[in-house]
Amino acid sequence: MGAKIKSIEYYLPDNILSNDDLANEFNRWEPSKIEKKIGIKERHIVSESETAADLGYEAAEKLLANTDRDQIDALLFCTQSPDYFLPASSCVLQEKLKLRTSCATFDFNQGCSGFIYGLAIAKSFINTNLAKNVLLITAETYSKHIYPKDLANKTIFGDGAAATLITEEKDEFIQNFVLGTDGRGYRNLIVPNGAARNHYQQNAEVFETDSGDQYTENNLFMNGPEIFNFTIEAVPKTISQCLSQNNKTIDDIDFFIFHQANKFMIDYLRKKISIPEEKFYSNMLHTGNTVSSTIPIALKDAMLTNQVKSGNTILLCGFGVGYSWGATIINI
Amino acid sequence: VVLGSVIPGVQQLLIYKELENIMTKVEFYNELINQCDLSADEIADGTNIKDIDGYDSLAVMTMIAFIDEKFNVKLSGKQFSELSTLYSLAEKIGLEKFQDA
Repeated sequence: MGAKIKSIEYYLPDNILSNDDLANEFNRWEPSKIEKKIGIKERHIVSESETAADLGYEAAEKLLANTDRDQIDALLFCTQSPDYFLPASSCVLQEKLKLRTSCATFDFNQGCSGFIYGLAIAKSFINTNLAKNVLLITAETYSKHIYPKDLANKTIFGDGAAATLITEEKDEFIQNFVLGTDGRGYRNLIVPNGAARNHYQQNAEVFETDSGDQYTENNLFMNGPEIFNFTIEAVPKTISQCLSQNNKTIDDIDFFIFHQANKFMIDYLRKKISIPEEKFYSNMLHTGNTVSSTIPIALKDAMLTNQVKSGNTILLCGFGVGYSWGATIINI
Repeated sequence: VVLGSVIPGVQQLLIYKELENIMTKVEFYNELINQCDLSADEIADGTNIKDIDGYDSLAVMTMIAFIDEKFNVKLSGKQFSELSTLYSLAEKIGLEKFQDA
C-alpha cells in the first residue's frame, strides 16, 4: 500500500504589500535591488480579522470543490498561528469544512519544515490503515507577529495557505524521509511572549538591531545570519542523507523544490550542493516566504507551468524555525 | 570554493578546497563590498563595517556566504555583530589567509 499527493490548491489573502510600498515607508533600499537579491517583489498580507485558519479554509474549499468531502478521513492542520490556545483550529475547520464527524483532526506546530512533516504523517496514516484520504492544510500569518518597524522581516515573509490531498494508492509515491531537529537554535526564530512561558507585555520595550529594524519581545524575532548558517550546515547533509536513504543520486532527481526562504539563500544552497540550475525551482516573486506553504505553492506552480510533469521524481526539503528540517522524494 | 564532482552512479561529493594567501586584505575588502552590493567612500583596514552603505541583516547574510565560499570559514551572526572594522573581519577569518598577513 502506498500514498500519493493527489492534488494541491493554495490561497493568498487579497491585500498586497509591494517592495515599492516598503521603500516608500522606510526609505532604506531600492525596490529593484532587493527584488534581485531575495527574489521577492510582493507578498500577501491578511487583514486584521483574517486568521491562518481562514486562509486554510479558503485553500481547502478550492481543493474540495473537486473532491468528495465525505471521503476525507483525516485533517492535519499545520500552523504556528492558531485561532485559539484551545481548541485546535483543525476542530473548528472540521465543522466549517463540513467534514464527517468520524474524521480525525489535529494541529501540529511546525514552520518551514511543516509540509514535509505533514507528508510524513499523512503517509504513516495511510500505510497503517488509519486513513485513505488525508487533507493536509498548511497556513501561516507571520505578519501578525511582525513589529510594524521591522523592515527585514516584513520584506521576507508573506501570509498564505495550501491544501494538499494525500490518498491511498497501490504503489508508493512518497518515498523515505529524513527528519531532524536541533533545539539549540530555538531562540534564533521566535516570538518570545504571549504563550505560557512569557506573558504578552503591554508597553513592551522596543529593541533596535544594527541595521535599524525594531521589535519587541511580543513580536517575531529572526536572527537572519544565524538561520543562514544553520541552513548551510544542515541542508547539504539532509539532501545527501535523503538521496542515500532512497538509493538515489542527484542525477536520478528530475526536480528539486526547497522551502522558498529567499532567493539568495536557496541559490547559495543549490550551488553548495551542486544541483544543476535547470533542476531547481526558485519562485517566491509574488508570495514571499509563506513558511509551511512555500513547498506546496511551489509544487503547484511548477506543475501549472509544466516544469514538473507526471512521472517526475522530485526531492522536497524544508528547513527553519526550531531548528527543524525534513526532506523526502516524491513521484508525481 | 565548492567543486562538485559528477561521477555517474556515485553520489555527488562536496569537496572544499581551502585557498590560502589568495589575495591581500584590501583586495578582499573590495571584492566583499562589490560582491555583496555594498558601497563605501573609503575601503581600508580602518573602515567601520556598520558604516558601510547598505549594511543590514541581508548584507550580513551575503557577507557570511561570500566568506564561506572564499575561505570555507563560517562566521556566526554573533561574531559578525561583534566586529568593528574591516580589519577585525580579516582577523576573524585569519590573517594568515591573506598575502599581506
